[in-house]
Amino acid sequence: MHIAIANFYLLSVTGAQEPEVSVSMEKTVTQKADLLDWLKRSLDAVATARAQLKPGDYQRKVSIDGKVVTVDGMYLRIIVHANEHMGQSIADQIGLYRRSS
Amino acid sequence: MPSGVFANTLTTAQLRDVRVGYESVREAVGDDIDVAVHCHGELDTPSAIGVAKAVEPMNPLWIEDPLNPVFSEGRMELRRSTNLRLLTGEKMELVRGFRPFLDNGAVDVIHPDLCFSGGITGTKKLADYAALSRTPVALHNVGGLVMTYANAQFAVSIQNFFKCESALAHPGRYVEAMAASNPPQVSKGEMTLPKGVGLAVDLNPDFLKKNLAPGEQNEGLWEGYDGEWSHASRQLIALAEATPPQKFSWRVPRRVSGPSAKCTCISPLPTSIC
Repeated sequence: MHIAIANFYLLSVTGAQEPEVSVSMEKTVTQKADLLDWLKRSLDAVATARAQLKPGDYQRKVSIDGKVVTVDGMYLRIIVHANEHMGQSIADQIGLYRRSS
Repeated sequence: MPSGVFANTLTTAQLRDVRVGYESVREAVGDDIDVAVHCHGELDTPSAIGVAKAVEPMNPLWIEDPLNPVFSEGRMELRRSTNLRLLTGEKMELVRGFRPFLDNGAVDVIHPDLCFSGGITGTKKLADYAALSRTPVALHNVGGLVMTYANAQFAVSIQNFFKCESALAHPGRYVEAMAASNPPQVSKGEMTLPKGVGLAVDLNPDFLKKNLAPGEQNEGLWEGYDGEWSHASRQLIALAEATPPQKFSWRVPRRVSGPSAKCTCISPLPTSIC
């Protein structure tokens, strides 16, 4: 759920209209079917929003956590974030690595 | 090295051919070029011992994978039978895979592959463990430019690096052609460490697109964000689908606590599971 929340939240920083999400949903959305739905919707939302960007949009400035960054930088952050957790998930699946109890 | 057709046992005639063949190689290249003997893990113990005796006069660099990857008493029997260097490890994983070989002195050189043995971090731990018994590391590398540069960077980061194989100088020069800039520099068998950001790899996307394997999808890093995101999406969904339902229940993390704890992967998200 953390990945889905991050996808929606980071996407909203770029100006895309996304559903409101909150960190508390990490605790409340615990059913596998619901979680998969959120995950798929968030992944699709990134792909769709990215496809709708026009050339000038990439360098548009946005603000996050007190910093001014570009829209392109935000997409880079989204993919880096997803890849980090993808790696953790793979390691977790094969029992190499545990981050929490 | 000949393979048994129906078994992993070499006949006396085949062992004779091995001896004659390697003696001919040595005679042809002289004493200043190393000759390695590769058995592909196909032999049984008596045949491996027989090969070691057959090639000993030729003074090979090492005997690679004389037996299958699993540690066994056969490894020790072979060890006791020859003073030639024994090398193995291209199919082994992590320190735990190599440990019986190192702890028992069954090999003289370990041969990890960065892709299989635990990545850069896992293989670094392995190299450090091997260094405790003063065992050198030869790196197995049959990959392309990324693997070759990763091996080069890794090699200079460990104290017990010995040699690394590569597909450089292949007649088709396909590894060299993968570089858009900063191509590999090799002279007399020694590669200059590539300098640049990260692994110092600059891939040539046009060459890669033109040389896809049959059925291989044209996607990935060189296709840009869309291909990368598509790949990540499929992977994340597959991983989530493969996860048992009970694992999605909220678990209190051990390491981070408190309402102000922030995710280490991305600072604006105040969470504790990252």
